[in-house]
Amino acid sequence: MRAEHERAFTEYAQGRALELRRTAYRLCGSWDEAHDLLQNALVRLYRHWERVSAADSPDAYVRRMLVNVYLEQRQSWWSRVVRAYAEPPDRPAPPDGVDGRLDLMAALARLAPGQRAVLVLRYWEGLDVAETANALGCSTGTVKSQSAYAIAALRRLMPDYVGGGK
Amino acid sequence: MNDQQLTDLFAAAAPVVEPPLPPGHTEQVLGAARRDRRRRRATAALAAVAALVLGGAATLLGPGLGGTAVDPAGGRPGLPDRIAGYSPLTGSVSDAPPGRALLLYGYGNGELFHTFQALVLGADGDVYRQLDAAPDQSGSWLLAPDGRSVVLADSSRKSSSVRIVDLATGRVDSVPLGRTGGVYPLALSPDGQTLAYGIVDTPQLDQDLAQGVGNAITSYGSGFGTLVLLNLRTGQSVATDVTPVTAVAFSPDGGRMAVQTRLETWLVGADGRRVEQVRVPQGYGITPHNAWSPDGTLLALTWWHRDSWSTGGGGVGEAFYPDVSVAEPFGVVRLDQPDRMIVKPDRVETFLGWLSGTELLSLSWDYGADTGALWATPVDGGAARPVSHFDSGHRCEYGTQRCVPYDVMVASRLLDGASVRVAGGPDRGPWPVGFRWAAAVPVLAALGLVLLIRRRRRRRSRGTPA
Repeated sequence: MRAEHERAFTEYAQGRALELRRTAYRLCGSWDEAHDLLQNALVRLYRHWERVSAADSPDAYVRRMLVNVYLEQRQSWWSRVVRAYAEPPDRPAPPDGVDGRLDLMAALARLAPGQRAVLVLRYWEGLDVAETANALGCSTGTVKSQSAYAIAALRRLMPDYVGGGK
Repeated sequence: MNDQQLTDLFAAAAPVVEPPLPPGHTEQVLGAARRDRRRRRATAALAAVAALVLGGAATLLGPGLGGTAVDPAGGRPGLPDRIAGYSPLTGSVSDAPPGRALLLYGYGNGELFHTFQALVLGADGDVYRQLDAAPDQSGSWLLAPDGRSVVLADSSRKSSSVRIVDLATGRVDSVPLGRTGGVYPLALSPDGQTLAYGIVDTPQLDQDLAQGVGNAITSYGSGFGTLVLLNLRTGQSVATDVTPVTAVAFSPDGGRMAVQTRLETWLVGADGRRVEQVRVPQGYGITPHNAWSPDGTLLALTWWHRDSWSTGGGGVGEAFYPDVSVAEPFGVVRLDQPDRMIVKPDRVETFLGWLSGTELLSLSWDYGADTGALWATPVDGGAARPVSHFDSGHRCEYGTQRCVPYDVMVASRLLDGASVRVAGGPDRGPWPVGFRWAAAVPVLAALGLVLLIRRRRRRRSRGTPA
């Protein structure tokens, strides 16, 4: 990488590191893991910096890289073995027996990674459907349907929430 | 739970205290990124090297695409009744040596596109290989009488060595001649150990070679070339007193040679000394190759034409060459009565050799089959019969032209007593290297496509979890 590109990359990384790590934390729920996600995403960004920096919206690219790194780690054999929290169920757990005291982070941890990513991007990062679809690399229709599944699962995981009965 | 409620829920999530970034975080990222880039480049380079090594190994060592090992049989050789057509996929001698060869020939056409191959036809099956040591030339070559080697000389420039291609191993060796000049190979002894060649060096030759004049060496050699005998095993040469020389035929026992010098035919000993003149009918001389019959009693003759030449620089001389345009260009005489033709076969266009002591083999056009053919002609005056045909299809120049055989040479000792058999499917050996790599491209592209599709599907599945 040429010196001017590396300088621009450094400036971008320094300016966006905290915000990106926050997004990473919302995706994974752990600051340590968020730090790793951020580092991996920035390493990937460095590799493609010349192309990304020329884009209209580098942030969208970087967000997509971050989500990809998160999803790849969640799908790897290693993460399934060593992850300290429960494996997301194939289907959301039934309301019966669900601990009503689960807070939001705990509920998110019970979701499948893709569903969690959809909710985080849309309702925590404030992206619209199109932006979320871009970050996830899928269609807007998929984002909508996955959002519906994720919300239904969240409703069951958080029955005590004020809107949970709806 | 509607969108607003969800937004409120996330907004109201317990605020967390963000830990600060570790000191030197950006530098750590930069270091990791640089290492990652170096590692990826090294991996890509290693993968490329591995692919080249594997591809090269497959190319060099693998069985190729359709190649089979040729059994170096020592039994009775067979001449197929149909000679396979042109194929650019014919493998090379160096890739898959054919063992012993019965036929050496140039094949192709070049009216518009250059589609030409130097080929050998195996003696022990329908084995065809490209003589890759002579990829773009023909003529200045000899096939050993036992079919196990080919001698190659450079007809386009002066040289100081000849090359020997071992058809059993594919190995090519260079044998120094001890002097430099225009070299034209004439004959190999029956054991393949002694090469009779002509060598010429005249000022006019330099000029014509520089201008790319065709057949300059053989043309000047027929007027000025000296006969030399070279032992291919020891590298020792025996100079002869025969100058000029245009054709040589070893006797079946290798002890003598019939030598054509100008319009005279002489018997020359293995020591290079003239023994006696063979007084063949006026105008005739021995055929360029394989004139001596396998039983040692007959000589095949052809009409020799004398041509004078002169150059602008004042050079003058004579050239001698076979002329088949005359009425009866070929004949056969007995050595013990050389002045009397016993037969003048009328279907011979190019004399190739002897099928037996009573039948000769020639290359002539078969007007019935409308293609070139190998003909057997009895020396007792009986009718000639075609024994093998070349392909009549338009396979040369991308299907636009018929292929033509050039400069055909036979392995004289193998030909004697060879059977004519029904041709089988041609064994062309492994594809030439370029075609193998070309074939690998779509395979690799398909593999890459599969991997790409799998990767995209995996990404989509990540975006659409169940």
